[in-house]
Amino acid sequence: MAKIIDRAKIDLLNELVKTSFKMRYQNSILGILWVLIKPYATFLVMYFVWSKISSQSIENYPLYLLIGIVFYTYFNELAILGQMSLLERAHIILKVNFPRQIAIISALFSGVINLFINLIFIFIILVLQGKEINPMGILYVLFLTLIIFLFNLGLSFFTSILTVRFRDLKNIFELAFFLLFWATPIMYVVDNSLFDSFTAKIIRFNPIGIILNQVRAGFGIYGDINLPLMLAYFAVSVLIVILGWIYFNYKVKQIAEFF
Amino acid sequence: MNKDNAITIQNVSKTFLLRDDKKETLRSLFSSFFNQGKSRHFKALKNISFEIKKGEFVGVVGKNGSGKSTLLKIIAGIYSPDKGGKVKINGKLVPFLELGVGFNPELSGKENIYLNGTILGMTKKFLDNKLNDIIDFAELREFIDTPVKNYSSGMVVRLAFSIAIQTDADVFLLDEILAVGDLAFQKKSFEVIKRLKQEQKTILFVSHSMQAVRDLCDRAILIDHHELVEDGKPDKVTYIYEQLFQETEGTSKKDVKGKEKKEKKNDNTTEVGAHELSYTIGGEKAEIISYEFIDHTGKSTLKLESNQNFKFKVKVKSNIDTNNQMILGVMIKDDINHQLYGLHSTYNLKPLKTPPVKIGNILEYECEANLPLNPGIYYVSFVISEGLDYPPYYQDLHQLANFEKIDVYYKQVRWGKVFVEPQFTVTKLD
Repeated sequence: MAKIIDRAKIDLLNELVKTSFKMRYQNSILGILWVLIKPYATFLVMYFVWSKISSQSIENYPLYLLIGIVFYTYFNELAILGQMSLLERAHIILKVNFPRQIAIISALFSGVINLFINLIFIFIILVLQGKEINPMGILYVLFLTLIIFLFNLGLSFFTSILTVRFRDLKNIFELAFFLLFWATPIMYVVDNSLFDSFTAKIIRFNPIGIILNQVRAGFGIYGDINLPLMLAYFAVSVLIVILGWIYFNYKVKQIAEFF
Repeated sequence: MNKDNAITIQNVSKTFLLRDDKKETLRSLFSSFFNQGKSRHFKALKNISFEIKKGEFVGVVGKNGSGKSTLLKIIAGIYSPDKGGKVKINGKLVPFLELGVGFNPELSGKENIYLNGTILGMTKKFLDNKLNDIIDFAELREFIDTPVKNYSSGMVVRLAFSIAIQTDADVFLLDEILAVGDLAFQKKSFEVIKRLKQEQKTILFVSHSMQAVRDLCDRAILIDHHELVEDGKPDKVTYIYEQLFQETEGTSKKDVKGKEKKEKKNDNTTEVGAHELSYTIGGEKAEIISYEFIDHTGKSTLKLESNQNFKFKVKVKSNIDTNNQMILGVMIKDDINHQLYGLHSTYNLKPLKTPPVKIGNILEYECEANLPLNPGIYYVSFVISEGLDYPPYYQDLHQLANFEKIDVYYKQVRWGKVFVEPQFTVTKLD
């Protein structure tokens, strides 16, 4: 078996990530600022609306909300970028037998870059608010970032191929993430003042919500760190990556015929 | 499997599922679940087997839609063959199925070198070293930091070709890539391909230019109607390929023959003077407007005497401005369509230089030669090409596909087709 990682593949990955990054903000005046404008605009609207209608009092609410939006966007972006990655590279896939896994990984990296730009601003806000930054907590957040990345990588190995065959999946995913946004504790906290006990139970079970709360815990904003649970998440994500890799390598040989 | 083989293809077939209503949405998936039989199978390749040795330069010829590209895509690993088919490649393979894959028009020429180069499997370090070679070969030094969207199509193709040829591989798949760029660039491209050949690289080369296949390849493969029908010497394979076209062009040829006969009826003698032309290929950039044969007595005729000098005059009108050479070619075939000999205005001992021409200029070519043919019926065809100093760097501009019939006579009976004046002597030995 050929080497899975070699210099040429890393360079290819690099070029693809660089190009899609350049392209996204080419010919736009605000350029890279758009990475920030979207989450902060969402943040402002939600903050305003929520403070008018809600009776929940949440400690550090602005940061609670902002971290929720930024990490939910990260999760959502990875899933959509990964899902569309093969379709968007169709013109290359039909002409060159380059390692197709790289199309997926490079697409996900765009999402990771966006997250890191947002993280810088979250740090600035944390510092301005005089919050203590705990290095172990930051390490924990990076670990959670990795879990979300791996989970979506594994998922994309399946969805990227299925989406080439069934284009409906694009709309299904978009709708699912829109609905999931409201079923995830991003602007609210799951408690019995807001939900009946059954609904609260279901929403508490939402793994994205759980991981968002762990991110907040890592920043020292809300809740407690639950490392064993996250190690389990990590293990599941790795398993999904392995299964996805096997499925992808089996199916990708035929992919050129499906376009 | 043989270790000397660069490419081994065994029983490769390829079936595509043609869906009249492509299953792109879940709705159509469900509807076709209940309504099967809407899809049809299409065999793009049927049971192809061949082997290519290391260092061989093999031309793949065939009509459009015959399955050539599918075969190349299978060898390149873009499609996988049907069950039972085997493709084995020995060494690193680089497919140039299309030049400039992944080029991004918004990026500069230089950025596209890195993007396209890495897609073709090169490393950044390798490209750093080759950067200047690539820019110089493409002749784009002034424009290398300009976005590719501002390039002319010729510039894009030059850049793409220059990147592709840097690849360090053992097996190359070239699909029609010699047809790119202007004549000067084509000449450079040919030289690169020849260099690859000298370096003992294995090359699989798809082309519609039979001249290029004959000049470059050691072997050729003909694919017709999804099957491999011929594998052998380029001369033989390209000849069979050309015959395929004459079969399919039968109808249009009949028209011409009908026309010819009509003309002959009006003018029943074989003395025809400058002949009007009716059936041709090309003719946009230059036209052969008339031709004429003159026998050794100075009479304009289609009846020529064997082993005598004869002359032909051809008038060509240019519809372009060019400083390149306008090369006249003549081919003489026998009555069963075998090529007997060709003459070329560059075959002169001191090659003929044509003056620069402007739109509307007319060039008159005159050639005097001995007629080395025995009595019989022969057919003559002309082609005018724009080219550099010598073949194969030329493009055919106008070809007369209706071979003129000439009638060769001699005062005595002669055997065979070629006239040789013997110098027999005889000595009595006792």
